[in-house]
Amino acid sequence: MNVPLNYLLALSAVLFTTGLAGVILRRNILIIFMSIELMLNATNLQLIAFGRYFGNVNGQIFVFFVLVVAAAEAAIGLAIIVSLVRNYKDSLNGDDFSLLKG
Amino acid sequence: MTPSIAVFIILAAIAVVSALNVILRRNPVHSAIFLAFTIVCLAGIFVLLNAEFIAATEVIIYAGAIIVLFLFTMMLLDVRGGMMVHQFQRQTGVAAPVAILILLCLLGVAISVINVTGLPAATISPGAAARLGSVQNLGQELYSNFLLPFELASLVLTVGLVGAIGLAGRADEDSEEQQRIAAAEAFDANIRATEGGTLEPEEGAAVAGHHS
Repeated sequence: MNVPLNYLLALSAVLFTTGLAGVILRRNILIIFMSIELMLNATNLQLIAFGRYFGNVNGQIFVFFVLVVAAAEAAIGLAIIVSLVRNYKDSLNGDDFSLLKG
Repeated sequence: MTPSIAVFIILAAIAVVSALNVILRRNPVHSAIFLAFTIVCLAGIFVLLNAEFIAATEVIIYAGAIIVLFLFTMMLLDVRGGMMVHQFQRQTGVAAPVAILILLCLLGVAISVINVTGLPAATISPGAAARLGSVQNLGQELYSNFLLPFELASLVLTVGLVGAIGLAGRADEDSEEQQRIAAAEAFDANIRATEGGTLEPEEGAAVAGHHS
Protein backbone atom coordinates (compact mmCIF):
# COMPACT_ATOMS: atom_id res chain seq x y z
CA MET A 1 0.00 0.00 0.00
CA ASN A 2 1.32 3.39 -0.96
CA VAL A 3 -0.02 5.35 1.98
CA PRO A 4 0.75 3.72 5.32
CA LEU A 5 -2.25 2.58 7.33
CA ASN A 6 -1.04 4.56 10.35
CA TYR A 7 -1.26 7.88 8.49
CA LEU A 8 -4.83 7.16 7.45
CA LEU A 9 -5.88 6.12 10.94
CA ALA A 10 -4.23 9.24 12.39
CA LEU A 11 -6.13 11.49 9.97
CA SER A 12 -9.33 9.64 10.78
CA ALA A 13 -8.69 10.12 14.51
CA VAL A 14 -8.09 13.85 14.08
CA LEU A 15 -11.24 14.32 11.99
CA PHE A 16 -13.34 12.26 14.39
CA THR A 17 -12.13 14.21 17.41
CA THR A 18 -12.75 17.49 15.60
CA GLY A 19 -16.34 16.42 15.01
CA LEU A 20 -16.68 15.28 18.61
CA ALA A 21 -15.33 18.61 19.86
CA GLY A 22 -17.82 20.40 17.63
CA VAL A 23 -20.68 18.39 19.13
CA ILE A 24 -19.72 18.95 22.75
CA LEU A 25 -18.46 22.53 22.45
CA ARG A 26 -20.75 24.39 20.09
CA ARG A 27 -24.21 25.77 20.81
CA ASN A 28 -25.50 26.27 17.29
CA ILE A 29 -27.55 23.18 16.42
CA LEU A 30 -26.71 23.46 12.72
CA ILE A 31 -22.99 23.30 13.47
CA ILE A 32 -23.54 20.40 15.87
CA PHE A 33 -25.26 18.57 13.02
CA MET A 34 -22.39 19.32 10.65
CA SER A 35 -19.96 17.98 13.24
CA ILE A 36 -21.90 14.71 13.26
CA GLU A 37 -21.40 14.50 9.50
CA LEU A 38 -17.69 15.08 10.09
CA MET A 39 -17.57 12.13 12.50
CA LEU A 40 -19.38 9.91 10.00
CA ASN A 41 -16.80 10.80 7.38
CA ALA A 42 -13.93 9.96 9.70
CA THR A 43 -15.37 6.48 10.14
CA ASN A 44 -15.82 6.20 6.37
CA LEU A 45 -12.13 6.92 5.89
CA GLN A 46 -11.23 4.25 8.42
CA LEU A 47 -13.46 1.64 6.76
CA ILE A 48 -11.96 2.31 3.35
CA ALA A 49 -8.42 2.31 4.74
CA PHE A 50 -8.88 -1.09 6.37
CA GLY A 51 -10.68 -2.45 3.31
CA ARG A 52 -7.76 -1.40 1.12
CA TYR A 53 -5.31 -2.80 3.64
CA PHE A 54 -6.87 -6.25 3.62
CA GLY A 55 -7.78 -6.18 -0.08
CA ASN A 56 -11.45 -6.63 0.77
CA VAL A 57 -14.31 -4.81 -0.93
CA ASN A 58 -16.64 -5.12 2.08
CA GLY A 59 -15.26 -1.91 3.58
CA GLN A 60 -16.39 0.06 0.56
CA ILE A 61 -19.81 -1.61 0.60
CA PHE A 62 -20.19 -0.56 4.20
CA VAL A 63 -19.24 3.03 3.35
CA PHE A 64 -21.96 2.94 0.70
CA PHE A 65 -24.55 2.05 3.32
CA VAL A 66 -23.19 4.68 5.69
CA LEU A 67 -23.72 7.25 2.93
CA VAL A 68 -27.32 6.09 2.50
CA VAL A 69 -28.01 6.39 6.21
CA ALA A 70 -26.24 9.77 6.34
CA ALA A 71 -28.45 11.11 3.56
CA ALA A 72 -31.64 9.97 5.29
CA GLU A 73 -30.33 11.27 8.61
CA ALA A 74 -29.51 14.69 7.18
CA ALA A 75 -32.96 15.00 5.60
CA ILE A 76 -34.80 14.04 8.79
CA GLY A 77 -32.49 15.96 11.12
CA LEU A 78 -32.78 19.17 9.14
CA ALA A 79 -36.55 18.72 8.94
CA ILE A 80 -36.63 18.38 12.73
CA ILE A 81 -34.49 21.51 13.11
CA VAL A 82 -36.72 23.51 10.74
CA SER A 83 -39.82 22.30 12.55
CA LEU A 84 -38.35 23.07 15.99
CA VAL A 85 -37.15 26.54 15.12
CA ARG A 86 -40.37 27.50 13.37
CA ASN A 87 -42.93 26.12 15.79
CA TYR A 88 -41.33 25.88 19.17
CA LYS A 89 -38.74 28.56 19.70
CA ASP A 90 -37.27 31.04 17.32
CA SER A 91 -33.69 30.14 18.18
CA LEU A 92 -30.78 28.08 16.92
CA ASN A 93 -29.27 27.60 20.36
CA GLY A 94 -29.26 23.93 21.35
CA ASP A 95 -29.69 24.79 25.03
CA ASP A 96 -33.11 26.30 24.35
CA PHE A 97 -34.59 22.97 23.34
CA SER A 98 -34.81 21.36 26.77
CA LEU A 99 -38.41 20.14 26.66
CA LEU A 100 -37.34 16.49 26.85
CA LYS A 101 -34.85 17.01 29.66
CA GLY A 102 -35.31 14.36 32.31
CA MET B 1 8.59 10.08 -0.04
CA THR B 2 6.50 8.67 -2.83
CA PRO B 3 4.15 10.96 -4.77
CA SER B 4 1.04 9.35 -3.30
CA ILE B 5 2.22 10.06 0.24
CA ALA B 6 2.92 13.68 -0.70
CA VAL B 7 -0.57 14.02 -2.20
CA PHE B 8 -2.04 12.37 0.89
CA ILE B 9 -0.29 14.80 3.21
CA ILE B 10 -1.46 17.83 1.24
CA LEU B 11 -5.07 16.57 1.13
CA ALA B 12 -4.97 15.61 4.81
CA ALA B 13 -3.67 19.05 5.81
CA ILE B 14 -6.43 20.81 3.87
CA ALA B 15 -9.03 18.42 5.33
CA VAL B 16 -7.91 19.00 8.92
CA VAL B 17 -7.73 22.79 8.57
CA SER B 18 -11.19 22.83 6.96
CA ALA B 19 -12.57 20.57 9.69
CA LEU B 20 -11.24 22.92 12.37
CA ASN B 21 -12.85 25.82 10.52
CA VAL B 22 -16.16 23.93 10.51
CA ILE B 23 -16.30 23.89 14.29
CA LEU B 24 -14.67 27.28 14.95
CA ARG B 25 -16.50 29.57 12.53
CA ARG B 26 -19.21 31.82 13.89
CA ASN B 27 -21.28 31.81 10.71
CA PRO B 28 -22.85 28.39 9.91
CA VAL B 29 -22.76 29.17 6.18
CA HIS B 30 -18.96 29.34 6.33
CA SER B 31 -18.97 26.08 8.27
CA ALA B 32 -20.99 24.39 5.54
CA ILE B 33 -18.57 25.58 2.85
CA PHE B 34 -15.59 24.33 4.84
CA LEU B 35 -17.36 21.00 5.39
CA ALA B 36 -17.61 20.73 1.60
CA PHE B 37 -13.85 21.35 1.38
CA THR B 38 -13.22 18.55 3.89
CA ILE B 39 -15.47 16.18 1.94
CA VAL B 40 -13.73 16.89 -1.36
CA CYS B 41 -10.30 16.30 0.21
CA LEU B 42 -11.53 13.03 1.72
CA ALA B 43 -12.81 11.99 -1.70
CA GLY B 44 -9.32 12.63 -3.08
CA ILE B 45 -7.88 10.38 -0.38
CA PHE B 46 -10.46 7.70 -1.30
CA VAL B 47 -9.16 7.85 -4.88
CA LEU B 48 -5.65 7.28 -3.55
CA LEU B 49 -7.01 4.18 -1.80
CA ASN B 50 -8.50 2.70 -5.01
CA ALA B 51 -12.07 3.55 -4.06
CA GLU B 52 -13.03 5.63 -7.09
CA PHE B 53 -16.74 4.85 -7.08
CA ILE B 54 -17.07 5.66 -3.37
CA ALA B 55 -15.13 8.90 -3.93
CA ALA B 56 -17.56 9.96 -6.65
CA THR B 57 -20.55 8.95 -4.51
CA GLU B 58 -19.14 10.86 -1.56
CA VAL B 59 -18.81 14.07 -3.57
CA ILE B 60 -22.24 13.68 -5.14
CA ILE B 61 -24.11 12.81 -1.95
CA TYR B 62 -22.24 14.95 0.57
CA ALA B 63 -21.09 18.00 -1.36
CA GLY B 64 -23.95 17.82 -3.82
CA ALA B 65 -26.91 16.90 -1.66
CA ILE B 66 -26.28 17.17 2.07
CA ILE B 67 -24.34 20.47 2.06
CA VAL B 68 -26.90 21.99 -0.29
CA LEU B 69 -29.63 20.77 2.07
CA PHE B 70 -27.81 22.51 4.94
CA LEU B 71 -27.57 25.72 2.93
CA PHE B 72 -31.27 25.57 2.03
CA THR B 73 -32.12 25.09 5.70
CA MET B 74 -30.02 28.11 6.63
CA MET B 75 -31.84 30.07 3.96
CA LEU B 76 -35.18 29.13 5.54
CA LEU B 77 -34.09 29.86 9.10
CA ASP B 78 -32.82 33.08 10.58
CA VAL B 79 -29.13 32.27 10.78
CA ARG B 80 -28.22 35.71 12.08
CA GLY B 81 -30.32 35.08 15.16
CA GLY B 82 -28.25 31.99 15.83
CA MET B 83 -25.04 33.96 15.44
CA MET B 84 -26.00 36.24 18.32
CA VAL B 85 -25.74 33.52 20.99
CA HIS B 86 -22.47 32.64 22.62
CA GLN B 87 -20.57 30.32 20.34
CA PHE B 88 -19.44 27.80 22.91
CA GLN B 89 -21.16 25.86 25.65
CA ARG B 90 -20.68 26.60 29.31
CA GLN B 91 -18.91 23.25 29.75
CA THR B 92 -16.10 24.22 27.37
CA GLY B 93 -13.53 24.20 30.17
CA VAL B 94 -14.23 20.53 30.86
CA ALA B 95 -15.17 19.41 27.37
CA ALA B 96 -12.08 20.68 25.57
CA PRO B 97 -9.60 18.69 27.72
CA VAL B 98 -11.81 15.61 27.36
CA ALA B 99 -11.78 16.00 23.57
CA ILE B 100 -8.00 16.37 23.58
CA LEU B 101 -7.68 13.27 25.77
CA ILE B 102 -9.83 11.25 23.36
CA LEU B 103 -7.73 12.55 20.47
CA LEU B 104 -4.55 11.40 22.18
CA CYS B 105 -6.04 7.94 22.84
CA LEU B 106 -7.14 7.56 19.22
CA LEU B 107 -3.83 8.83 17.89
CA GLY B 108 -1.97 6.43 20.13
CA VAL B 109 -4.01 3.53 18.77
CA ALA B 110 -3.57 4.76 15.19
CA ILE B 111 0.19 5.06 15.45
CA SER B 112 0.79 1.79 17.27
CA VAL B 113 -1.91 -0.29 15.57
CA ILE B 114 0.49 -2.56 13.72
CA ASN B 115 2.68 -3.19 16.72
CA VAL B 116 -0.15 -3.83 19.15
CA THR B 117 -2.40 -6.13 17.18
CA GLY B 118 0.15 -7.69 14.83
CA LEU B 119 -2.01 -7.20 11.76
CA PRO B 120 -0.76 -9.11 8.71
CA ALA B 121 1.06 -6.90 6.24
CA ALA B 122 -0.78 -5.79 3.12
CA THR B 123 0.15 -8.31 0.45
CA ILE B 124 -2.32 -7.56 -2.32
CA SER B 125 -0.88 -6.93 -5.76
CA PRO B 126 -1.33 -3.54 -7.49
CA GLY B 127 -3.58 -5.16 -10.07
CA ALA B 128 -5.89 -6.62 -7.43
CA ALA B 129 -5.90 -3.27 -5.62
CA ALA B 130 -6.93 -1.45 -8.81
CA ARG B 131 -9.78 -3.92 -9.34
CA LEU B 132 -10.90 -3.53 -5.70
CA GLY B 133 -12.95 -0.35 -6.01
CA SER B 134 -14.11 -0.75 -9.59
CA VAL B 135 -17.81 -0.30 -10.28
CA GLN B 136 -17.98 -3.86 -11.64
CA ASN B 137 -16.54 -5.37 -8.49
CA LEU B 138 -18.71 -3.25 -6.19
CA GLY B 139 -21.84 -3.89 -8.20
CA GLN B 140 -21.29 -7.62 -8.26
CA GLU B 141 -20.81 -7.69 -4.51
CA LEU B 142 -23.76 -5.39 -3.89
CA TYR B 143 -26.20 -7.43 -5.98
CA SER B 144 -25.10 -10.85 -4.76
CA ASN B 145 -23.91 -10.92 -1.16
CA PHE B 146 -25.46 -7.62 -0.04
CA LEU B 147 -28.77 -7.75 -1.92
CA LEU B 148 -31.02 -7.61 1.14
CA PRO B 149 -29.15 -4.68 2.77
CA PHE B 150 -29.23 -2.91 -0.59
CA GLU B 151 -33.01 -3.23 -0.78
CA LEU B 152 -33.30 -2.17 2.86
CA ALA B 153 -31.26 0.92 1.99
CA SER B 154 -33.96 1.95 -0.47
CA LEU B 155 -36.52 1.45 2.29
CA VAL B 156 -34.46 3.65 4.63
CA LEU B 157 -34.34 6.38 2.00
CA THR B 158 -38.10 6.17 1.43
CA VAL B 159 -38.81 6.39 5.16
CA GLY B 160 -36.42 9.34 5.39
CA LEU B 161 -38.21 11.11 2.56
CA VAL B 162 -41.66 10.54 4.07
CA GLY B 163 -40.43 11.54 7.53
CA ALA B 164 -38.82 14.73 6.30
CA ILE B 165 -41.97 15.78 4.44
CA GLY B 166 -44.13 14.89 7.42
CA LEU B 167 -41.97 16.81 9.87
CA ALA B 168 -41.23 19.93 7.87
CA GLY B 169 -44.45 20.11 5.89
CA ARG B 170 -46.90 19.93 8.76
CA ALA B 171 -45.78 23.23 10.24
CA ASP B 172 -46.99 25.14 7.22
CA GLU B 173 -50.38 23.45 7.11
CA ASP B 174 -50.92 24.17 10.78
CA SER B 175 -50.10 27.83 10.49
CA GLU B 176 -52.28 28.14 7.38
CA GLU B 177 -55.13 26.45 9.21
CA GLN B 178 -54.71 28.80 12.16
CA GLN B 179 -54.63 31.81 9.87
CA ARG B 180 -57.82 30.61 8.20
CA ILE B 181 -59.55 30.13 11.54
CA ALA B 182 -58.41 33.55 12.74
CA ALA B 183 -59.65 35.18 9.53
CA ALA B 184 -63.01 33.41 9.83
CA GLU B 185 -63.38 34.50 13.46
CA ALA B 186 -62.54 38.09 12.56
CA PHE B 187 -65.12 37.97 9.75
CA ASP B 188 -67.69 36.51 12.14
CA ALA B 189 -67.03 39.17 14.74
CA ASN B 190 -67.28 41.84 12.09
CA ILE B 191 -70.68 40.50 10.92
CA ARG B 192 -71.93 40.36 14.49
CA ALA B 193 -70.78 43.88 15.21
CA THR B 194 -72.55 45.29 12.14
CA GLU B 195 -75.77 43.26 12.59
CA GLY B 196 -76.31 43.84 16.29
CA GLY B 197 -74.65 40.71 17.72
CA THR B 198 -77.93 38.81 18.34
CA LEU B 199 -77.39 36.10 15.80
CA GLU B 200 -76.58 33.17 18.05
CA PRO B 201 -79.28 33.51 20.75
CA GLU B 202 -82.01 33.73 18.11
CA GLU B 203 -80.69 30.71 16.36
CA GLY B 204 -80.39 28.80 19.62
CA ALA B 205 -84.05 29.61 20.49
CA ALA B 206 -85.22 28.58 17.03
CA VAL B 207 -83.39 25.27 17.26
CA ALA B 208 -84.72 24.63 20.77
CA GLY B 209 -88.25 25.35 19.67
CA HIS B 210 -87.91 23.11 16.72
CA HIS B 211 -86.77 20.24 18.86
CA SER B 212 -89.59 20.53 21.38
